[in-house]
Amino acid sequence: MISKILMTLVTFFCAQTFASEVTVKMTLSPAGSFEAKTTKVHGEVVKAGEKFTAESLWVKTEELKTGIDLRDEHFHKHLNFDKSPKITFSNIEAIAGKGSGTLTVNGVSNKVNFTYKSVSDKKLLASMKVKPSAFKLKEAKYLEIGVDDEVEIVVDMDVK
Amino acid sequence: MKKINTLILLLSISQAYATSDVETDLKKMQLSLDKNNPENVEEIFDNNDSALGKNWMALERLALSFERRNKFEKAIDVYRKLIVTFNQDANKAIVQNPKPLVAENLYTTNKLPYYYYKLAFLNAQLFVSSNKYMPAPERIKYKENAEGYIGLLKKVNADAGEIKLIEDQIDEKIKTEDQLAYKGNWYALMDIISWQDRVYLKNKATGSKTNLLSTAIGSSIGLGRKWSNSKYEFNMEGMYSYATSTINSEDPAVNYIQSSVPVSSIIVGPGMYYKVFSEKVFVGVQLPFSYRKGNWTLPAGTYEFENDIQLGAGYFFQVKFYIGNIAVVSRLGKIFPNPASHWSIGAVYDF
Amino acid sequence: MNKAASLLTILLCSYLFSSKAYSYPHFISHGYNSCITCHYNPFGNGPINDYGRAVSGTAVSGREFYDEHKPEDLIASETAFFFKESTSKHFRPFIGFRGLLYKANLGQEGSKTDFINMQLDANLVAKFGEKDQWIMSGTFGYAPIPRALQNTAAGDAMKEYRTREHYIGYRPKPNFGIYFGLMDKPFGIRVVEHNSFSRITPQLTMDDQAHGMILHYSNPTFEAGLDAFVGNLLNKEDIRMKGMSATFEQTVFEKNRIGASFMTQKNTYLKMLSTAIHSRSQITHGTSVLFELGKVDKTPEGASPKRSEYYALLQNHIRTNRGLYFLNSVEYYKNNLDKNYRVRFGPGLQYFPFSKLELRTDVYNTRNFNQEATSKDRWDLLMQVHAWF
Repeated sequence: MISKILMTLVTFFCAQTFASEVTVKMTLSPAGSFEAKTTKVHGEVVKAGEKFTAESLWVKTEELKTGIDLRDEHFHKHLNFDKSPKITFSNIEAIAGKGSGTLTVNGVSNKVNFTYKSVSDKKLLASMKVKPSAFKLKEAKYLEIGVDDEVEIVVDMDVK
Repeated sequence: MKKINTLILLLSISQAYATSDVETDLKKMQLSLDKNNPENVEEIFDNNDSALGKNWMALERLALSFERRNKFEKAIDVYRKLIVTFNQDANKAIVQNPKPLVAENLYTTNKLPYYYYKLAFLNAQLFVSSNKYMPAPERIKYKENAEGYIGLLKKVNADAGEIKLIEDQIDEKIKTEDQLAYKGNWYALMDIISWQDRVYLKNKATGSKTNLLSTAIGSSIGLGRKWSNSKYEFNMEGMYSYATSTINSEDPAVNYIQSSVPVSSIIVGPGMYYKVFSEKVFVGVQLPFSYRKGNWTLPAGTYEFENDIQLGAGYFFQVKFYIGNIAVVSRLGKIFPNPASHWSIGAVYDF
Repeated sequence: MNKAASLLTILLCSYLFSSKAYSYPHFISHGYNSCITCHYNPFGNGPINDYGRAVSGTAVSGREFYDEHKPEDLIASETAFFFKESTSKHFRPFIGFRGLLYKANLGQEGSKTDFINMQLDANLVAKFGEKDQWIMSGTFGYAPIPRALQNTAAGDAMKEYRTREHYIGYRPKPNFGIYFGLMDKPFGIRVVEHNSFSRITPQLTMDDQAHGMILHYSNPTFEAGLDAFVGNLLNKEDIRMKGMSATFEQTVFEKNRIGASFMTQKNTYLKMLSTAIHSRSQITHGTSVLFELGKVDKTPEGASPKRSEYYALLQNHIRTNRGLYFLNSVEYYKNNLDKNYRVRFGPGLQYFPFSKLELRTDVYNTRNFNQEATSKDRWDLLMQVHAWF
């Protein structure tokens, strides 16, 4: 059976050689931001007519990298990577620029809506905003610098 | 009759003894694996290979011991033997069936999915760990074998995630090799350039020479061809520069000055960049060879210039970083016999 | 009214030891596009907060000198004052030193080598409130008399031991703050090279702080600052520069910030109007490009003519390995009264072997372009050591 996968990832204009990419964008308080990204995206997006579907897309939590080793360690621990090694987006359906699916983070699943656009026949770009607190993630703070309770997930995905 | 019965009894006893030998050896093999002494497993097998070679549990343990010692080719041989000796008909049915088998999960009924996975994984490891010293047919063989067993895994309804992991490893290797292959393309460049020239004003009547210093600044356009992979870039480029200069005598006793003098140069030469720090940031050197000509005016009297036309060679250190298809390049170096540095800052566009 | 009186009292009493650190706007390359993430001063410079210390130890500095098994968390905790994580929630001390070996006019007759103690000071930050909304910072220490002022009346009036930053700040919300005290004026890119044309031309060098009030606002994509100042109250009245400055930055295309700045200031002798545009971009992780283009109109009191000065700065930082950066600066300066202009190339290397130490070396090649005369290039070598606790 071919899984149906729907996720669009975007990030990085130009010069990216990897086919798929997931980027999680976080805003810091009082100021600043950082991103965690991975190109190791598992699953497939299938196009049938104008509709895109995917049974399951997932990434390994430990594959999300922020560019600073200590920040990676904190990020993975915060997401409870040892108990929930994967972040999964499943039962995805999308048409006419909008879609929805079930996002599972930290063992908690929530229905999430997203928007997308077709970059080309073979590529989709989608983004969604989620609240970490909705996935029972504690407030993230390190040495008085906190992470806002809204993150943007951007997905750049190949389409079959 | 008695003799026949004794013979039968002896055969039964020896059969029982042989069976208990195999059981004992199996336990020993498993214990060696559990204690992380995989080399013992091969020794136990070799000591009783005629019996153990007919036992699929022993062969599985042998294969595992080879895997743990990174003897992937030997492990592959054993798994193949397991398929051929104990699962040939089922394997044939799967191979010959053009469609994936969706009726049941074969993991629950036989070992084939497990063997297919091992063979896909081990062949993939051999492909991924291959290097330029391994003959190409061998590397291709491992890749194709891995892909073949991946195809069989899909037919037997194996876990998609596990299949994807192997496929990703193969793709990653192909990508890395592709990135190491050199690709060529043309590029154009434009920059602001500056240098200083030493020109000599010679008095033909007296033979005396005065040093003149000319400072030029202008712009240049150029074209180049580069060959690059994920680590290095080698290029050959040529550029034409047009500048204006101010020139005066370095000897305060000699009053010679001229400004806005057109000066032109052609610079050609090979260069290289090293881009191991990042895909978008390059540092390197260029070896320029230049031809420079200036339209300085001779003062009234019997004078001539020396070095108003000059051939030179030198070196540049250069830094380039990309924003999209356009790169910002800066260079600082020297072209001999010029008395001072030669620098430029500009942009490169890749076609 | 009571609050205002309290604030004023605190301001007048906030003369404490403090240390002066410098800001590194190129750290946009690590994803930090705003200075306030790591500094108490929202526009950078001055002491770094706990997070900034941890970043300096784990993202900026190398780890070749640490055991390979030493955890990053432990390295981060050792970045605290004298390697010991503070048990106090309210006080943060800081000591800093910068020394410079300066060889001017390399290869020319009369070339000199000097060692300059650029900075040796101590700082104390006191912060209060559930979210550290109240911040007081004071720096005091040794700072050399600027070379241009040595053996002048203005230089004689300066003290070698003085404060270059002290203020009290209040941040009622995480994205908004108000500060009173002696601080650098927010304008353009606050590069660490105070000899850069972009700092010298609008008079924003190491001794150009002013007493005033600064408002700071930021959100994830926009940042702004407004400063109304009355000059450095420790200087004589006639030379204090009074005025205001404003700076804005907007994030574009995710990893880039573009900005604009404006400043008007005057004293008894000179009136200045400065404008600039700038950008800061992350190229890849650890690599950035800074660009600034500015104009400063200077109108001296009396008969001297008004002059317009122009400057440009292009600077890139390339992270070669963790802890090691290759820098390259290209600068331009022109004064409309002169017929010449200047271009300076400045490659350099910046190395952070471990937290609390920075080693840097720069070579500057300055060339004058003049329609009336040519002159030889000038080469300068600068080697700097920076240590802090």
